[in-house]
Amino acid sequence: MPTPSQKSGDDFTVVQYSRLTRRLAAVFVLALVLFHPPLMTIFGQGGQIGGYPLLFAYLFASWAAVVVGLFLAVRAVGRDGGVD
Amino acid sequence: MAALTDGWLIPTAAIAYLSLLFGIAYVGDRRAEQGRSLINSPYVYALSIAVYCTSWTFYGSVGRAAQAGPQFLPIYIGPTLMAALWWVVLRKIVRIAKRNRITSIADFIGSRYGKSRLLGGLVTVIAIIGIVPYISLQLKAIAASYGALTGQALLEPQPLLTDSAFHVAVLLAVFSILFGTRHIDASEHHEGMVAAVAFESSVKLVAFLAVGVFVVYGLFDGFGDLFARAERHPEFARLFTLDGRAQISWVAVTLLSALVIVCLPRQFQVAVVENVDERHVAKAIWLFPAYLLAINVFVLPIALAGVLSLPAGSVHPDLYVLALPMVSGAESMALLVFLGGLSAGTGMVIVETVALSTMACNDLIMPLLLRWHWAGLGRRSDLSRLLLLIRRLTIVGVVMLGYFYERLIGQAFSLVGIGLMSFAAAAQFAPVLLGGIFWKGATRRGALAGLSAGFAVWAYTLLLPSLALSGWLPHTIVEHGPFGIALLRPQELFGMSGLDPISHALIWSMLANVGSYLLVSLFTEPTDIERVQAALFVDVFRPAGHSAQARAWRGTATVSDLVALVGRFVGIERTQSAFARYAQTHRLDLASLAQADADLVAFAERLLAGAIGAGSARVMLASVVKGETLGLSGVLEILDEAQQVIAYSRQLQAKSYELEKTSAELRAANERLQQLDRLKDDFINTVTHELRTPLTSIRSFSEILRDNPGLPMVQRQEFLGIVISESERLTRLVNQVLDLAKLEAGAVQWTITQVDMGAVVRAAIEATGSLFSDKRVALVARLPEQPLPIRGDRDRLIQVAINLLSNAVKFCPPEKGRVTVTLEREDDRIRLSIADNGPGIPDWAKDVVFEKFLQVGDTMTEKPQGTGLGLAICRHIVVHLGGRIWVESAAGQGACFRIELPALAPVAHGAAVA
Repeated sequence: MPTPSQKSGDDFTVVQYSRLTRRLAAVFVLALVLFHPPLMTIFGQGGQIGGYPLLFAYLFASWAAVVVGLFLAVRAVGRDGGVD
Repeated sequence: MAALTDGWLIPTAAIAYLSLLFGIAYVGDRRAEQGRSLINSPYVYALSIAVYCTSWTFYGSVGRAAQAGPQFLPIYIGPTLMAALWWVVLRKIVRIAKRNRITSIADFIGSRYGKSRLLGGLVTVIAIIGIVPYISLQLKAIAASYGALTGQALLEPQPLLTDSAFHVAVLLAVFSILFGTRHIDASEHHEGMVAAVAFESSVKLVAFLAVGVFVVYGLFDGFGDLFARAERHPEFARLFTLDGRAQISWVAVTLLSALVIVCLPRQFQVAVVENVDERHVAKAIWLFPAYLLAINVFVLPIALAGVLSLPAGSVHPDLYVLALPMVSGAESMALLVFLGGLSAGTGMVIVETVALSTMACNDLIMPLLLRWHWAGLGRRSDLSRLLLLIRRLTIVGVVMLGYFYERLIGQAFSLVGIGLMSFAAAAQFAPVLLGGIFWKGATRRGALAGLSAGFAVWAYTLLLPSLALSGWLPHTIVEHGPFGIALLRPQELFGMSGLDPISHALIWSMLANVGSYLLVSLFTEPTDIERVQAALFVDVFRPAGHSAQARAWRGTATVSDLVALVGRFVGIERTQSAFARYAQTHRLDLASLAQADADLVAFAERLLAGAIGAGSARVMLASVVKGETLGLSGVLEILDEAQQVIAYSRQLQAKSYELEKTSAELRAANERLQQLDRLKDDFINTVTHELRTPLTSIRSFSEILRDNPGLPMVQRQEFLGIVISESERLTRLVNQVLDLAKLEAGAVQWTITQVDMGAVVRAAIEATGSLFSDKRVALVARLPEQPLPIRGDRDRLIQVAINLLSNAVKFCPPEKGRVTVTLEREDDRIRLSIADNGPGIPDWAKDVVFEKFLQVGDTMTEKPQGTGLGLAICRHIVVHLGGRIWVESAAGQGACFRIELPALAPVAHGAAVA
């Protein structure tokens, strides 16, 4: 629900702004969880997966997932909101 | 190696590459001047933010990975996390910076806390001290890569003039000056520089990916082969793990790099100051992390390849990227790597020194010059050259400081070690920056306390040990603490041991910084200007009714003073065109506007702030603006904590009030319609009545004449006279009814010219002369000699005067009657008064006499003396010409009709109609 505090003097609507903010916040929390202990502790103990070091496979896969998440969050608003 | 090591190939390639960059920057600036911006693209914006990846990334990451495994990554994961918050944080900073024409992070922080010059200066000092090691890192990396290519040993310091690091420093200083300080831009945009930096970001990414592919697929058989070979060396296993202590460092560096991605002066420069479109931030949110991901994919593989294939100790791990292609004889690849590293290093140095020079000039040197040499500065007419000189000298100074730091201190550290130290310094800006845009209660003193405390702890825990380690201070300070007090050991402060120096310094400095910032802010009162700025920054997205900034200027200044003042710093031509644009968009005529209004003063302040920073701009402006600078009521208006809610409920209130008003208007309109309908009926009734009276008498007398042919001649003559005068009255009535109808319908053709009111009155007096003499009424005219010009329709005005004069005559007693006509000028109005000494008009009738068909007096007993339309017509004409008409009277003392019309300025040469 748009509230007065989310008002902005832009060409986007309040709803699209807050939706983008919420999606990005979700990706932020996801990244926070992925890149910090305790998950990091689990994957930081060494080992391999498919010939790759487990820690690096995990880090780069998570990183790619976060970038895709950011891309999807921004794109959705760009599509209906006119962000180029 | 022969081709690379001897001859001029590498210096030539480097200079050719820098010249290409300069060409791009030149085109970028030209395109910006033509309004066809090269950098108006989210991709260019994201690439320019990638100036974040310096030599540290290009060379240092591999070195770090070879020694500490995953620890090279948090420096890029932090910004990735922060990017997710950019929509909330960076977009707000960008909006604030654009609104307030912020030129640097020092300007931003200084502006936020009441345009404090002290704070801006402090930020500048911290930035310069903190960033100099970082610049030295770039010089060191470029010189080392050059040395590696040419086979020169860099271990022992060379004499100054043959030291390649010195050559690099000179070259970079020259190019920074060329890129960043060719002219002073009021908006502090360097579009050419941004274009060049974006190009450099592409080059360093391509170069790094190319060398990565070359190493992984050229020297090895892909990732699988590389990792399988590393697996055979158990001593490398630690590179793939992250144990407990390393995790603390991981979290600390992630936090650190998340904070500095907007706080580093160069990041603030490209992400905020150089931003051309706020919407680019949205795309950069995923583009920039994607760039970071891409440039890091090959870091660990290259590091592994380095430790696997290069003999231990033969090459510093920081130079693996370059050494791997060189030992395999791939010289062109090595050259590409060198250019990539050069891109990373030069991009950083150019943007950083330009940002620092802007800060040093606007927030440190100008305020000092303004204070100490105000008289000398006041005499100079064009200060923009002085500004450029200051900036160029600052660039040279900063680069040279970087060089000497590298030469005297930096030898003892790895690239990443130096870089993290600078990060920790820049991170000190984060609390006051982020707090400043979200927390209105933060005060200037709180910010000063937080920054000073954080910086002091940083200097003690990081800078001091670095000086000690390089032998500039006794090493015992680090080992046993100053004066042997173990509790004060810089790297184990108050016994906090078991941490790496960066985490240790980050924890203590942030504790001191945030703690002092919060506590002092909570226990000090902000001044008026601080409150205004806090509201401007924190509420930047709130739609503003008035410009709060304009409200801060209550005094006045002349337009020419403003133009002259701004012109001295920005250049007079640029200033004039900026003012002209402002006048155009605000529909002002600057030539006729002597006093600048508050909005214009605020505009001038923003212009000036773009050139010399907000703090100095305010002081400069105060020198030409006279009067109270800030009204308390204005402040209170802005501040109210609950203002947003109030504003919202006010909006609702206004809406419902509007609704009420509309329905009331509707009701009124309806009533008016009904009234008009009644009036129309009344009008028709009255007109027919008025027509019937003369018609009846004409008919009666005509019948008498017809039926009595024997009437005496005298009587016939008398009756015929009555018939004629009644017919005349009828004609007059019909004419006036038509006249009034035309007036009311707006169908009258007005011939508006410049008219002399005196001439009008004289003409009317002449026309009514016979009335006065017939009734023997005296006429006293007091008309001024000089013309009294107004704009009006001459014939209509004469009609008004005649009407009033004949009215006056009508009500005067015969023989003793006396009518006084007075014409005078009162300020900007011209007043015509026509007074009689008749019976006067009772109070109740003073308004209604101007209504149609209303005649005062008992129409039953007295014979009506006019049509009752004259005054209604007069009122129509006078109101149409922008004047008013009224009557002053007391019963029995005569009536005085007065007209007021707006006067024109008297014309010197009597151009008025005679």
